[in-house]
Parts: sequence; structure tokens; C-alpha cells
Amino acid sequence: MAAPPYDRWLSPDGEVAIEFYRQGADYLLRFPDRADFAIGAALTCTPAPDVPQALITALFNNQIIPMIESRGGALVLHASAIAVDGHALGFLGQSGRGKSTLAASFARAGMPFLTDDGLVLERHADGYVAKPSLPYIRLWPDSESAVLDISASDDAELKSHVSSSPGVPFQHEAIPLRALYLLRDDGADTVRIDRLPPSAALAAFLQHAFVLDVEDRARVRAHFDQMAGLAEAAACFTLDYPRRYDDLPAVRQAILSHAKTGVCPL
Amino acid sequence: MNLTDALALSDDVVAREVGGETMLLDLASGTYFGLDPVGGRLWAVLEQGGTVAQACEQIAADYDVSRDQLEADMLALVGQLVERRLLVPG
Repeated sequence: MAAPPYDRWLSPDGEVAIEFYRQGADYLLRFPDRADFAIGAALTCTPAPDVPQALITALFNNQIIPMIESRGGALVLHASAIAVDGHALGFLGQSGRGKSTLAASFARAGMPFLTDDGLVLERHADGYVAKPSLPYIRLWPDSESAVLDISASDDAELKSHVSSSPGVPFQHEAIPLRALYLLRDDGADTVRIDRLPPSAALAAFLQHAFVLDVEDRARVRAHFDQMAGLAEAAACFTLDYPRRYDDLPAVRQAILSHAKTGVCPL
Repeated sequence: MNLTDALALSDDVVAREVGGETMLLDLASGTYFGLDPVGGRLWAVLEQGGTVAQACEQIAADYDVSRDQLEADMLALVGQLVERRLLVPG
């Protein structure tokens, strides 16, 4: 690649997760040692040798599609979401924060999931609507075993692909957004939920959004306006909770109780 | 930075009031900043262009502080904004 990347995403442990390159008017997204995706009039993928097809599909669904949607003007957050009484609760967090585990836990308890990774929100006259994404959840083997009580694969390097089922229901229709929770301290001993001021919510959204071209000034301006509008209108909270599987029922209960009593109507 | 310096917003800045704070996004760096309500009021005046002294003149009646204090506060804020290239010479 002749020119250096114009943007780079790092994983929580500091490794390069994605490098963004220009190719004329097109883009090339490099997932090191995994795959290159070229995005232009056509979309092509060049996998690295011996990369499982399931991983390529996951990158496409969870990274490339949200990028393309955001390029088209959609508001896409790095969040999972579930449905409770016809309203959506979203859980924002970077990879490894527990988004998918939480969504799977709610689904297993009968509350359908809308997405496990990329939450698309649409602004309507009376608030925001959360749109369903793909009907599967990707889980690390330990989460899969603990949350879904399914014997997991032996491959600890690869997330499992858990399709929706009667035991893990999917929310097929778009529903109004009730609240967004920013997943924070994974060292917490108890569940704690606090209101997130709009300015802090905006900062969180900017850190948890999909943007294909950070140098596209017009698009970034529009994106900032979108996020600011969401920060002002949506009920946003921080969520600290213990990352222990045995505590998940109590965590779910605390969130449900809060969503029912602690969130003003949007 | 002097009171007679004329200033303008950088073309790279987007400002939006959110929850009583003024949030600034620097498109050049992707960095964002927050101004409290007082800082936001100062920013709103600075948005109109002109000199620091003219900006002070506009908001002098809004705050119960001495003119010297207001000018010192304004120069301090402007200094930070210029340093971050959110404001540029007008």
C-alpha cells in the first residue's frame, strides 16, 4: 500500500483492528492477517490465507455493512439491543465489553434481541426507532456455554455464531428506542446505573459510531449533528456491572427495573 | 493574544449546543471539546467575529464581574481556543 492509512482503529489491547486506505475514490479496509475489503462501486473481499469463512462473514456483517450504512447517512452505533415490552434498550460498548453476552442473556430470558453489534437508529417525529439487524449473536465459547447453556466449540480464538431460535428470540420489527446504556467498568462489584449528561453522551456516541471516511468533512459534520441530536433526545445512562456469569440474572433485573421506572418517556 | 486581535472560527470547527454545553468538533483532527455554559456564551459571541475587546463589550452586561476580570477570562479562553486552532486570526 503506497500511501499510509487515513484512519486506524485499535482494539482494546492496542492491536490494529482496521486500517483505512484510499484507492482513488474507493476505500480499502484492511483487517490485518484477516482480510482486505475494497469498497467502491463493487465490494470485494480478499481473505488472508487460512482464515475461516465464518470470520470473513462476521467481518462483513459486523464491520463492513455498518460502515456502508453510515456512509449512506444512517446512524449506526457499536451497540447491541434487546426488546422489552415493545421498546428497545441499547448497550453501547467496544469489543469485549459484554454487549453480545448481555443481549444473549436477555434473549435467553425471553426478551428478543435486535442486534448484537451494530445498532441502526432512525429519527422519527416522536423519537428514535431501533432497527433489527441480523438474526444471530456472536459469542466467545465461554459466554456461549454460560449464557446459553450450549456446549461450545473448542476454538477459543473464534466466536460462535448463534442463530436466533425459540430459545434465543429475535426482534424482527423496528421498535421505539427507550434508553441507551454505556457499558463501563468491568471491575464493578454491584450494578450501578447513572444518568449520562447529553454532552457526555455525545462524546460516547462519537466513540461508538461507525464512520467510513473521517476526512469527508460534509459527512462528518452531518454525523456530528446526528449524534448531537440523539444525545439531546435519547435517555442515556452509564452501566457498571460485575462481569460474572452467575450475576447476569441480577444484572438483567436491575436493568429492567431501571428501564421501567428510571427512564422518562422519550 | 491581545484585546485588539481580530478572530474568526476555523473552517474546521463544528459547534453544537448539547444539554447546556457547547460541544466543538475539530474536523481536522477528529478531536472534540466541551465548553461549559459560560464558555459557550463566550463562544457564541466569538462566532460573530471581531476583536476580543468587542466580544467582551457584548457580554459585559451579562455577568457580574469586573471588566478586567472579564477580559482576563476571555483572553484565557481565546488563548486555549487559538492554541487548539479552533479560532484563527480574523
